[in-house]
Formats: sequence, C-alpha cells, structure tokens
Amino acid sequence: MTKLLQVQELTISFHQVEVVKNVSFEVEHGEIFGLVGQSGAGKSLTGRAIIRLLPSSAKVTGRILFKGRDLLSLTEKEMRRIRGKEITLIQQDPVASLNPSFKIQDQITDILKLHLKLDNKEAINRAKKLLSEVGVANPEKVLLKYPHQLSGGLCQRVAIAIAFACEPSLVIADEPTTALDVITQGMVINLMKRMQQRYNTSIIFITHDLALASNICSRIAVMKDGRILEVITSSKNILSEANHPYTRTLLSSILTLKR
Amino acid sequence: MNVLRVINLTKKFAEPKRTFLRKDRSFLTAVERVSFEIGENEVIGIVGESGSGKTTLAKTIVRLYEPDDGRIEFMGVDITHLNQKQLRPLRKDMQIVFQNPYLSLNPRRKIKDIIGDVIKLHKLDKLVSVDEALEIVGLPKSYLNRYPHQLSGGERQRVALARALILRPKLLILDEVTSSLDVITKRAILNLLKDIRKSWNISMLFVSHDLAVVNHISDRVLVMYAGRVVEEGNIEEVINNPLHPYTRALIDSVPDISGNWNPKYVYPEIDSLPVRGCKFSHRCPFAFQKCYISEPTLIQLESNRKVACYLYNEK
Repeated sequence: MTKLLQVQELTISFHQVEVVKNVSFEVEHGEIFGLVGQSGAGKSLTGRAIIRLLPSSAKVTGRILFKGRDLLSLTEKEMRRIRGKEITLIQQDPVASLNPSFKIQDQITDILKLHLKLDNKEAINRAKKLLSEVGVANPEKVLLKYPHQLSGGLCQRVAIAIAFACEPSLVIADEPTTALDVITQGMVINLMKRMQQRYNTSIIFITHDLALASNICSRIAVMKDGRILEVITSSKNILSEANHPYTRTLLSSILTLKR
Repeated sequence: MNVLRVINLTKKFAEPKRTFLRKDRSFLTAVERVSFEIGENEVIGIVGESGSGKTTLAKTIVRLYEPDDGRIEFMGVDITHLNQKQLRPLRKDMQIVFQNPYLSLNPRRKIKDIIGDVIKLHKLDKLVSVDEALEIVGLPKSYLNRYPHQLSGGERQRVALARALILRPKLLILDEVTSSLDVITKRAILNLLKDIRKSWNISMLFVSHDLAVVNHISDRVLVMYAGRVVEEGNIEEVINNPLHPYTRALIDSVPDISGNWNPKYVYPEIDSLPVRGCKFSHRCPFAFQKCYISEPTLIQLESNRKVACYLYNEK
C-alpha cells in the first residue's frame, strides 16, 4: 500500500530567504507523526504548506504527494475540495481559530453542508453527535453559543470536532495544546488519540514539547532552522534512539517532576 | 521578617445580571480567603488550572486590583488601603512581570526607553544604567536601540524581566512568565531566575499552571482551585506525596519521557462550580456525601503541610 503522504524536498522561501530547506518525510495511514522543534524551526510552515494555507508571498518548491496526487500542482478550486474534508487543520489558539461572529452550530454545520451535502436538519444532528463524541456534556446548549462564551478547552474541543467532521484522512495539529493549561492538555490529548483511533486518521502533530510528542507519536522528526535533523522511528525509546546533539539538548531541557 | 504576608485576601468581580428589571448583582469570587507568607529569599509557587484565580491573586497583591477583603502586608507595612501615590515608593521593591511579553512592552518605544523610564520614575539615574539592566538578563547592549517587535519571544521576556530587576526589588511576582515560550527558552529563563536568586536577596512569587516549571524553582507551593488554596507545602513533599485529589491531577498531567504517560486523573470539564459543598466535589473521584454539603477549610497537618479536603483529619 502506498503511503498516505509523501513530502519530497519541500523548500519554502520568503523573498529569497529559505525558511524550510529540502524537507522530506512520509506519513503512513493511521499514524501520528510528530514534527518537533523550537519556535522558528519551520514546523508550522511545513504543516501549512501541506494544507496549502501559506501566504501568497511564500515560494514553495518540491512535491507533496497526498494519496499519490501532488497537492502543489492542484488548482485552488481542486484544493478546496480536499481542504477541510480530507486534510484538516487544528490550530494553536482555539479561540482565534473559530469565527467570533458565528454560533458554534453554524461553524460546524457549514463544513458538513459544503463537503457532505447534508441538509440543515441532518447537519445539526450530525453536529450534536460530533460534539458528544468530543466529550461535550450538553451539545444542544453549546451549539447555540458564540466562541467567546466558551472556555479555551471547550473551544479546542469544538475545533477538534470540526477537524474530524468529514472523517478526514489527515489532520494537521499545529501546537493544539500549547495555549491550554496542563489538565486541559491531558484531556485534549486523550480526545485526539480516541478520535484518531475511531476514524483511523493520520495526524501530523506539531509541537515544541518533545516529552508530549514521545508519548503520542509513533515517529518523530526533529526540526531546526528549516531542516529535519533526524527522524526517531521508535519514539517510546527516544532516550536511547536520539543521536543528534540537538535532540539531546531538547531532551535535557524537558522539565520534570524530579529534581 | 516576612517580605509578604497575605491574610484572608478576597477578590470578587461583579457579574452583571442580564435581567431587565432585577438590579441585584451576582458576584464571582475569583480569590477567596487566601492566606500565605513569603520569607526572605524564598520562592513560593502557585499552581492551578486556568480560571483558578492565580493571576487575580498576583494582581491583587500588587494592588492592580482592589481587594474586597483581607490584608496585604509588604515588608511589615499594611498596603491594603494605601492610595496609588502612597504605593509608588513601595512599587520599586515590589515588581510584577506578566505572561505575555508582546503585550507588556510598548511597541512604539525602544528598549532603552522602556527600561529607562522605570529608572527615571524611581529616580535611580545616578545609581544604575540601562546597560546594567540588559547585563543582568544576558542581552547584548546592541539591543538598546531596538523595538520590541525586533526581538523574539524569549528576548522580549528578558527585557520585561530586566525592567523589573533593575530596580532591585525585594519581591518579584512572575505571572506565567514562561508559558508562551518553547522548552529551550523556558529552561534558559528559569535558569536565569535561579542564578539571580542565588546571588541576590530576592523573594519570588511564581505563578504557573505547570507543576514541572514550579518544581524547578520554588521552595514551597500553593495549589489553587476555584479561588481557594486547596493544598500547601514544601514542593518536594507535595510532589512525592500529593494529598488533595486535584494536586494528583496536576501531577498526573505532566508528561514524562517514558513513553507510557497516560493521564488517568483527567476530570471532566464543568460549566459552573457547585453552589454548595467542596468546589471540587463534582469532579472528584473520591467525593462522599459530606463533600456535597459543606466546604472543607484549609487544615494544618504535620510538618507545615496544609490541605482543604475531607479525606484528611487535623492532627
């Protein structure tokens, strides 16, 4: 079986400055793949290049093969059929990633009507089901609220519900827990794992937290200054597998409960 | 002498009721009867999830919010009811650094002016210089003529720290200063604070939602939930032997590198706090009848440990 996603020699530059340099990796079906690095390493840009959401000033070269098709060669119209349906994005700031002027209901049903061609009533029912799947206690109430009326954790659950609404093949999770406190982070991580198993979705998990990545990803690519330094193929054994000095620096920076 | 003494501090915010005819206002108690002390050269950590009242507590202590009840004593002086003019000379000794360095630095002013203003305001021109401030936090002098947007998040947080530290405060309040930073920068800032603490006589109040961060720097820790202190103790004791179920959840939420981290104590989110009983009872796996009826108070256990939970009895 072919790989779900193959990124080949991806280079992204802004005004002749290369910020992502010759990055290649593959994502298997049903895998959680980690992209780890400091701020400015180019992790988010790589993620956004895959879903084709980079600003127009970005120059992208290389190939991004998704189910055998090169996403970079698609027209915007063709890309729209994939974006939000087959490849979705969960962003760092859950409150900012939702539209403040629409109710949660409209934001979930929009995508269901557009991609799955559901009518209004079906879409609302499906939205309710999605919200209960992400552990929202009373979906009917939450559907009628605006993003600012919900907590950060709840907004991130809604964002996850939207990301999984059309049973995508690939979810790009860009620092989905960085803006949340530790307890909410635990809940969101558990939830993403559960959704990933239910729909057999692949996830590209972007984070700066190597400890977090080692616990949920099967493989981890460590990025620095726009390059992939190494790919750790068995993240459970990251302590023995990490070879690159930078990965070791990252590992030693992790704060633990031991002194 | 204690640098800071907080006694039964309470802060409420009015919640406007959306009813047309009713004028009575309901209150949200963000901080409820919190008491603690910070000794000389001591670092106290405050942990809790978002909305537990940590930031409100920090801001109320420096009187950025007006307390509704209780007392704040700084260096033996009751500052609870001092007006802003009377407070100003004390502010030099009591500095606060905020979570978001993007918001706490004026984007239209150069670094030298941002720090220089504070020095002028406290009439320290002859004693200290802006260069010295940058030196403390390990930034090169060439940064003096830069604007905040030309710096990275970690560098900006260093500037914010420099602005507070140049006054040589007795008490430094740090409100989630590392939350917006990546692991390596976070570690660097924490190490900087540790070095300063070693060489200066300075006390700190370190607020964070991450127990691992607090563990790195604090001597004692207060665990807050719904505006109340639910557990207090020496940091090592609290981590090795957490008493309150909520503290266990906080410890459980810190991922380790073993690869089998699986947060067990993840409690469901709730819309609103229970009106009666322990505020944590609806999320607590150990709650029994009494927990839903009345609220436990903070009791003293052996060796300087305090906990507010009916699972424990006073000794």
